[in-house]
Amino acid sequence: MPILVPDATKYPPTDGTPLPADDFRAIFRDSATPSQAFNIINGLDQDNIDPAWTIGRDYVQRGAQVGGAAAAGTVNLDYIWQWFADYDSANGWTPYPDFDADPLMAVARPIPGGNRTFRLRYDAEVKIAWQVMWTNDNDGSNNKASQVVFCLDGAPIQMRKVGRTIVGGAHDGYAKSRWWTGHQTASLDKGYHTAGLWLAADPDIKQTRVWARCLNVKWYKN
Amino acid sequence: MSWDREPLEDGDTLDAATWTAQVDAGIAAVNAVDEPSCQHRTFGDAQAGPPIGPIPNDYGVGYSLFGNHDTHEYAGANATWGANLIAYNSATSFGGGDGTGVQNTSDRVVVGSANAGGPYVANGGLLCQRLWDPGFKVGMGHGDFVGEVEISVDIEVVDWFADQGLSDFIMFCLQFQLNGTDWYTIDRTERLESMSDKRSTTEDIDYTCSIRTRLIDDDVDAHGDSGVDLVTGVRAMVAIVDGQALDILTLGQWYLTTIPKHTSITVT
Repeated sequence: MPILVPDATKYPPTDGTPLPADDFRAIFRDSATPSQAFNIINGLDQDNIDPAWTIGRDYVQRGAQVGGAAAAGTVNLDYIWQWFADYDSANGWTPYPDFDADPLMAVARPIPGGNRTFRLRYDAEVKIAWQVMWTNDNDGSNNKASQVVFCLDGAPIQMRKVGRTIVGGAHDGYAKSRWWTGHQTASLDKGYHTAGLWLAADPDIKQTRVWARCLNVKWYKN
Repeated sequence: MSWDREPLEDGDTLDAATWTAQVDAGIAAVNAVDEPSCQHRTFGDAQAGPPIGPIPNDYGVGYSLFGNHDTHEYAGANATWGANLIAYNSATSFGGGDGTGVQNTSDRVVVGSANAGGPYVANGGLLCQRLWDPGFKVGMGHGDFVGEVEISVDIEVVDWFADQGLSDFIMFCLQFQLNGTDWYTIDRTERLESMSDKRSTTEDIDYTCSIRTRLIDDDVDAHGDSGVDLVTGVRAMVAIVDGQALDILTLGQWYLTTIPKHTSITVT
C-alpha cells in the first residue's frame, strides 16, 4: 500500500554529485513504481494515517462506514382467505429452521410497510430488525395458523405462526394481537438487496389483519 | 505529522542537505497523516476501515446465535428461582433493578437452561449466551478497540400461565461475564411481564420479549475495572417471580446478536 519510500539509488542526493533530471523527477512522479514518488498523494489510504491518531467521527464522511434504511406502516391490512385457497398451514407448522418453505412461499404475500430494498455501497455486515402485529378470526383449531415470514433476498429465513388469536372464541371473544419483534444478521455483498415480511394464512381462517409493522436495516462496512 | 513547510528565501543556501530536509518532511507528512492535516469529513470508506471487526481474536465472527426449543416449559415451582426475587414480590416493584448488587444472581436461569425445571420438547440444551475466549476489554482506550458491544435478543414467549394472576410475573434480562467467572445483570435490561392471556388455557399468547442495549465501559466499571477486566460473555436470563406450583412459562425461539464495535477509528 502507498507508503512513500523513494528509490534509495536516487534519493537522497549528495553534495557534489550531479542529480540527473530523471532522478530528480522520480522523487515526484514515477509511474513504474508509484510508491516511490509523491504522486501517491492522490491515492492515500489507511496505511498513510498516523498510528497515533484515533480518528473521531467528525473526520469520516457520512455513510462511509454505516448506513440504514427503514419502512413502516400502521394502516390496517386485511388478508382474506381466497388468496391462500390452496395452502394448508399444517405443512409449515415446524418453526425455523425446519419449516417447509415451498408451499408457504407459493402463496405468501409481501406486507406493505414491512419490506425494503436497499443498496450497499460496499460489502457489509447487515442487521435487520422488525416488528409486526397481527390477528385473525380463526374460531376453530388452534393449529390453523396465520404465518409471517421474514425473507432476505427472496429466501425465507425466519417464520412465526400463530393459531387462534381471539380469546373466548370468535364473535363473542376479544381479539388478542400477536406481535413478533425479530432481527437477523447477514454478511452481504455490495449492491441491491431486499428484506421484508410476508404473510400467509390457512384458508380456514377467513381473514388475517396486520395493523402495525416496521422494518429497519442497519449496515456496517465490512 | 503535518507538513510545516519552510520555503527557501533569496540568499538561502540550497544544497543536498537543505533540499533533502524539505523532501523528507513531505515524505513524513504523507506517511503519517494526522488530525491537523485533514478537514472534517475527509475520510471515506476507502480510508476509514470497518466500524466492526476484525476484532482481535475474531470476537466478531458470527454475530448471531439462534435457538429453537420449539416449546420449552419453565416450571414456576422450580427451586432455582422460587421466591428469591424478593425485591419484586410486591405490587409496587414492577420494573427497575432488583437492587441486590446483581452479582452472580442465582434467582434466574439462562434462557434454554435445563435447570428451568420444565420439559424440553425439542432442541433442548442450547443456551442463549455468547462466550468469548479470552475475551476483550470494553472501552476504546483500553487496547482492544471495542468501544461498545451492541446486544440484541428476541425471545418468543409462546405462553405464560400465571397461577395467581397478576401477582405472578416473569422477568427477562441480560447479563455479562467478566474474566470467565462472575456474571452481572445489566439492570436497565430487565423486562417484566404479568399475566397476558387472562389464564386462558386454549390460546397461546405468542409475543416477543425484545431487549436492545449497548454494553459500555461504564457497565464494566460498575463491577470491576474496564481497563483491566475482560468481557468474556453475554447471556439472556429468565425468571418466574413469586413462582407457584402451577405457573408455566413456555418459550420457543430466541435470537441473540452481539456486535463488538469501534466507537472511534484507529489504524493500528
